[in-house]
Amino acid sequence: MMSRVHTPISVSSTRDNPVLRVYWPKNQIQHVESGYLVGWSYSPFDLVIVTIAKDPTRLDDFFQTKQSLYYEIKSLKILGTLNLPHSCYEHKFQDNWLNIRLRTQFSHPQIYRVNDTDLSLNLHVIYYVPPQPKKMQILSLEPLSLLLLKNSVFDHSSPEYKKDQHTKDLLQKLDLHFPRRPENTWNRSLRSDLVELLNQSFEVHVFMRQYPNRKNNILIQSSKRYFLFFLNLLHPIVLFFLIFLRVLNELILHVINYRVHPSLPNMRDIFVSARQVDLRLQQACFWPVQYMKLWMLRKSKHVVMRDYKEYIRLYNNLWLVANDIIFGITMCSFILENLPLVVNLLDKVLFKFAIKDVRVMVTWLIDTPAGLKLNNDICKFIVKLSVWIIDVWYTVLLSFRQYIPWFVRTIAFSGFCGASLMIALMSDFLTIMTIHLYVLYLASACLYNWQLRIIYSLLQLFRGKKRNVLRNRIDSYEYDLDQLLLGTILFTVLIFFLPTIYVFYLAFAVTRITVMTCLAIFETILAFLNHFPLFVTMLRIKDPYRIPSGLSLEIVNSESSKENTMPTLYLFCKSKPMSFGSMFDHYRKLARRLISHYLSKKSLVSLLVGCPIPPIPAEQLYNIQYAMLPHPRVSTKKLWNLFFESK
Amino acid sequence: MLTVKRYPGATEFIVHTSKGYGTQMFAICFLSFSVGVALLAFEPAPSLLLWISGAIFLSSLFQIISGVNHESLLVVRDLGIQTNCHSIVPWKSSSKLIPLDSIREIFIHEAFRKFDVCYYMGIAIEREPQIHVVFPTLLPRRDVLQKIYSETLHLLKQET
Repeated sequence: MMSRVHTPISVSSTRDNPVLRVYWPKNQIQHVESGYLVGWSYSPFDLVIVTIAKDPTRLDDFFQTKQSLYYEIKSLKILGTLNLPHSCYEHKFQDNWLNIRLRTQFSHPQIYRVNDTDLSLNLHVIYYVPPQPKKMQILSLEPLSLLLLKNSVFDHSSPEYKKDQHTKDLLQKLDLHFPRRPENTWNRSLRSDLVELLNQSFEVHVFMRQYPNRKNNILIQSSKRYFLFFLNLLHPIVLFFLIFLRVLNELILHVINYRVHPSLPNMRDIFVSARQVDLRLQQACFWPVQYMKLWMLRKSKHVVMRDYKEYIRLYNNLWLVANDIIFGITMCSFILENLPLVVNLLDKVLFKFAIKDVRVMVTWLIDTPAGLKLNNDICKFIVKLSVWIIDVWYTVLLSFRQYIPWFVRTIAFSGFCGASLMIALMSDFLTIMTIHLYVLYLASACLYNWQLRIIYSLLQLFRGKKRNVLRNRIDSYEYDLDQLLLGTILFTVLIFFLPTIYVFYLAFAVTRITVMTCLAIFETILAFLNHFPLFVTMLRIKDPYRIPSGLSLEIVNSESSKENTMPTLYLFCKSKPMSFGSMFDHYRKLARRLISHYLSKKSLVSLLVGCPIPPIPAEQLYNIQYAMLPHPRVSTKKLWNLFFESK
Repeated sequence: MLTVKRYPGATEFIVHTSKGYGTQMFAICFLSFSVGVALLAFEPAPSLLLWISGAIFLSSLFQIISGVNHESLLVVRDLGIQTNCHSIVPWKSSSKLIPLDSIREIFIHEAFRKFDVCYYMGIAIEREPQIHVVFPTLLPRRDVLQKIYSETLHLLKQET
C-alpha cells in the first residue's frame, strides 16, 4: 500500500528557484592567478570549470588545433573571469557569465553575477579532484566491482545461474512498468557524460598550459628511432617463441583432458595437480591476448572503465603467479635444507599413522571394544580382512621406502613452478598413500548400507507391507506363512548383527573423515593462492582513486545571499574507493559453496546411512578463476592473426 | 530524532539513533576497566569480581561499537539523492549516491518483521535488482517518513 500524503509545507521562496551548478577543480586553480575561466558548459545550468587562460584572443585558434582528437577541446568555452575586477572581453549576455573572486588559499570561491535577474538563482559549487589519467585515476558512477565480475560464465546447472536469470527477467519487466518520467529529462542529474568531462579536466589543463611551448627535442627523437629499430628486429623472434609455447601448452592440455571413454573421468577429474597445471596453462594461453589488448588500448590514449577492468585482471593474475613462484622457491629451499627432518616426518606419517595405528585400532575392535559386546565370528572375519589389506599395502610401501628422499626432492623442486603446484602434488600424494583407508571405508560403507537396506525391507515385511516399485510407495501385501517366518528370522538375525557392522563402519569413516579434512585444508590453501585479489588490495592501499566505486557528496559550506551574490551551497564530490568487502566477495561465495557442500544435510545423511560422501566437483571450486578466462580457448590460429596481422 | 537542514537547492534529513545511552556506555566501560585493573592490585586476586568486571567491560564495548550513530538522506535538486549511514566503526559506515535519472520510484511501504509491522522508505533504482532502503537500521516511524517523503518529492519534481 503506497501512501501518498501531501502535507502543505511552508518553505522559503529561495528553495524553489532554479539551481546553477558550477564544478570547481580543487587544487588545479590557485588563488593568486587571475584570468579567464575556461571550461565546458554541459547544459545552461551545468558549468564545468577546467583551467585559467590569461589571454582570451589566443584561445580561439587554440580551440581549432588538430590535437583535439581525444578530448572535447572543441566544445571548450570561456565561462567567466577569476579575480579580474574589469574585463574587456566581449561575451554574449545570454550565457551564464561568472565573475569569481578567490581571496585566500582556504576560502571558498565567491561568485558574483552580472545581471540583476540572476540573483534569483541558487548556486551549487561542487568541488571535484580532477583524476590524473597518467596514474590511471578515474571518477566513475558505476562501481568497478560489478564490472570485474560481469563476464562470469556460470555453468547452467548451478542454482546461482537460475537465480541470475530470474532477476534479469524481473528487471526487464520493471522497465515496462516504469516509463521515463519528465523528471528524467536530459539536462538534469549527474550523468556519466558529465563524469567523463570531469575525468578529462586534468589532461586539458596540462595541455593548455603547455600549448605555446611544444618544442620537439631532436635528441630524444633520434634515440627513440634507434630503439624502435632494435625492437623491430627482436619482435618476430619473440612472437615466434610465444607461438611455440602456445602450441606446447595446447599439447599438454590435450593430454590432461583426454578421456578414454566419455563416462570415465579424465586426468583432470582425479588429480588435483592436473587441475592446477590445467589452470596455469590456460592462464598462460590467455596472457598474450590480454597483453595485446591492453597494448592496443594504451595506444589510443583514451581510457575507459572497461580497459581498467582488463588491466586489473591481467596484472592481478601475473602478480598472483609471481607470488606463487616466490612462495614455492622459499618452501623448496626450506625443505631442501631440512631434508632429513622432512623425510623422517614423512616416514613417521606413513608408517606409523597410516599403517600401524590403523592396524592397532582394528585389532582393538576384536575383543569388546569400549565395553560393547560384538559378534565374535563376524568381528574376527572383518578384522582379518582389514589386516590383510593393510599388510598388502604395507609391503607395497616398504618396497618404495628407499625412494622417499628422491620423492621429497621432486616435490621440493616442483616448488619452482609455484607453491600451488607443490601443494597440489602433496594433496595427490596423500590421496594415493591412503588408498588402503579409502578401500576399507568403501567396503565397510557398502556393507553397512546393504545391511540397512535389507533391514528396511524386512521391516516392511514384518509390518505386512511391501514396496511397490511401480508406484514408488509402500503398499500392504499378503505374505505366505513361510515367507513371513523366514523374513522375521532373517530380520532378527540382521538386527543383532547391526552393531558389529556399525562399529566397523564408524571406525573406517572416522579415518576417511580425517583424510578428507586434510585434503580440504589443502584445497583451501590452494584457493587462497589462486584467487587472492592481491593487486586490487594493493591498489586500494596505495591509491584509492584508481579503483572507484561510485561517488559521494559531502556538504562543505553554505552561504546565504549577500549583496551581489546568490545563496550558495558548497559540495565536495568525492570518489568512493572499493570497499574491502566487495573485493573479497567471491571468497565469501567460495566459502559458502564449500560449507554448503560439506556440511549440507545430504552429506550428513549419507554419512549416517553409509553412502560414500561425494567429493566437491572441481567446476564449483575453480569456477571463479575460470570465469575470468574466455570460455573456449583462444586458438593458436587466432593468436597468430593477432600478432602478425593487426600490428 | 529527525533533524532537517535546509540549504539553498538541497535538503538533508538526519535521523539519529534512539539509543540514548552513548555517554553512559562509555562511562560504564571506563569504570569497569578501572575496577578490573584495581582488583589486580590485590594479592589474592578475587577471580569472580575480575570476571564480572571483564564481562561488563566487554559487553559495554560491544554495545558502543556495534551501534549506528546516525543515518542521513541528502536530496540535491537536479542532481540526485545520497543516503549515508554513519557509525563509529568505519566498516559500518556507508554511503550511496543515486543520480536523478536512475531513480525509478520513491515510495513508503509496510513490511512485516516477525510479528511486527514497520514502515520503510524505499528507492527503486534502475538496473539494480534490489530496492534500496533509506534509513535501513534506524527505521523511523511513519509520520517522520511521510514528512521526509513529501519534502523530497516536492524538491525533486521541480522543473528547471
